[in-house]
Amino acid sequence: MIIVKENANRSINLTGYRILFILQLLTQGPISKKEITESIKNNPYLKNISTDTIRLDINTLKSVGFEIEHTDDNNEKKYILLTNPLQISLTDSEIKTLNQIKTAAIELWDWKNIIKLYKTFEKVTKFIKDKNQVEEIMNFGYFMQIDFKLLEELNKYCRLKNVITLLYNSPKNGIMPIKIKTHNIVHDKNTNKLYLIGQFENYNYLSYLRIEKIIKVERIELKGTIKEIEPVYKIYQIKKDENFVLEDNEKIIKEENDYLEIQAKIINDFHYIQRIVTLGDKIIKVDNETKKKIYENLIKTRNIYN
Amino acid sequence: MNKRKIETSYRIMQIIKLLCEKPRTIEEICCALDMENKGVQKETITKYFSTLREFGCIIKKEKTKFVLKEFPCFIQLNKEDIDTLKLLSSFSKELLSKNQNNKIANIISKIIDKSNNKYISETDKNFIKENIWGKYKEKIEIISDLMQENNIKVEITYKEEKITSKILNFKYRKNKIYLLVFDEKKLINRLLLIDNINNIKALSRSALNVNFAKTTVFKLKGRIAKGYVSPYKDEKITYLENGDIIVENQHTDKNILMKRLIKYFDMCEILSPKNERIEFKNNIDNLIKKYSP
Repeated sequence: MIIVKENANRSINLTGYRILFILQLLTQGPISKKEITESIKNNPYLKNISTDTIRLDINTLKSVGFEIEHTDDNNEKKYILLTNPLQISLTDSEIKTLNQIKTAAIELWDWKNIIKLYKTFEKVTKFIKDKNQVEEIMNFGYFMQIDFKLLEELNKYCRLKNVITLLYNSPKNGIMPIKIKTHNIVHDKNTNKLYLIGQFENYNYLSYLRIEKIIKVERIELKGTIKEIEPVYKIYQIKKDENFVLEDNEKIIKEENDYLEIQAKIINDFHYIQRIVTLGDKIIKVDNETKKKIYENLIKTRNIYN
Repeated sequence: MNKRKIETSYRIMQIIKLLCEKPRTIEEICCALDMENKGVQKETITKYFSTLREFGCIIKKEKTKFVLKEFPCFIQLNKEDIDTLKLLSSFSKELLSKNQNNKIANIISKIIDKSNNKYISETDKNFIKENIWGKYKEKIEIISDLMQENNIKVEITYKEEKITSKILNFKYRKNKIYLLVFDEKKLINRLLLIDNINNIKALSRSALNVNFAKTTVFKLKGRIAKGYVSPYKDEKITYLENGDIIVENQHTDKNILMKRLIKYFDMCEILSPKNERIEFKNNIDNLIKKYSP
């Protein structure tokens, strides 16, 4: 956007001003001669100009080092700014280091900061000449599948604990509407996926919905009709181990020399069972209900290997 | 072919280029623009500056030189972007070697130089350049130096075990840093917690630049197969007609992989190699004893 001051200093060179104006239009995206002319008409400093003058201004920019192509864009001839001499130049070694720290950030940061990093990189890479480098820097893996606008919208509903109906692409049942009371969004670092956690009607546990499978929000209810469930807590004991990492829904309630007692807020029963079984033989003690379910699932698994 | 250009516009753009490179005196600018020795007047430059300022540029005089502080066609970074770059900078200081950290500081400096400066205070700039080190500094330095050498074999003393290996990558999880290595004796990739690496030394160059780690092949069924998105970019997936999928994984630490697969219960079956299939089955047997009523 160009903001033009009122009662501005008139001892300026309008020809020079015009080329800066055109450059700014080019940095905002492909633009046709007609669109340039229209924009200039709306600028109080500049007069109507001919297409010849536009061509001369473009040539002037090229002579300074801007690479501009006049090419088809959606069946219309437009000027596209390919490179500009004000660009940032990065060495291969710098790119490699940047990718390394970016990978670490994606593995360790909260999803909100990951998205902020993506948006900052998006602005910066417009000024990087090498397209291969741009592609490398902008590769955020799993996050490339995520609609950030939708994610921010869902986050807003979570803050307000809204009941929403969304269209979901279920792996099992295909596209279907789901009514859910939203709780929060989590980034599961084990699977490296984002989930919307919420409560379905008539279901006692919270459920996980994969964010990339959510197509859109169809409806929002101002007054939720899904009754809040009481949180369920379970306790397990685990041998102390340097590789043990506490999950976000867990806390240490007792610590002895050789073991920890952990309280877990149960989000989803099956997820809890999966959590316990992945901890393997480090587990010392769990509740009987969980023990039984794990046993039943392990028997089914063992049968595959007979 | 020399394409026609507008001289005044050309000079205005040249001024921007000159000031982007470094601060300049009026005399230096006059000299740079006066290619045909016709004489460029200081008053002309002053008028060009007025034009640039009217457009939205901020040009400040520092001692005798003019500095381009802001240009509307620069990268438009807002406060959130600056905070993100600061976060990236402090994060780098914790995780990277000195050499790599300097590269990140360099990159961020280049970005700031080409951005509008409204939100970047001197404090922020100093923050980016400052060196603060994390607790893994020394180990990261040594390991990063070794990683620069191609195909170098190393001996890692991991707790009390000596591992002859090739370093692959750093891996990060929550508040822990791991080193992914190829164990040349066991022919598997292993994830070593950096806290437990007591010593690391270079041995010699490996004969070949290949990873001989065995590939684990497993089948996924049902809803797990339908919704499976690999957390690793180098996992190879083959889709079967009945909806099941076959996954080939070579690079993950085997213990980590086994923990991941066991939670899929009967929707996952390890197909090969044979020793891993047997080992997995034995692991299940042990867990069944543990959880039996």
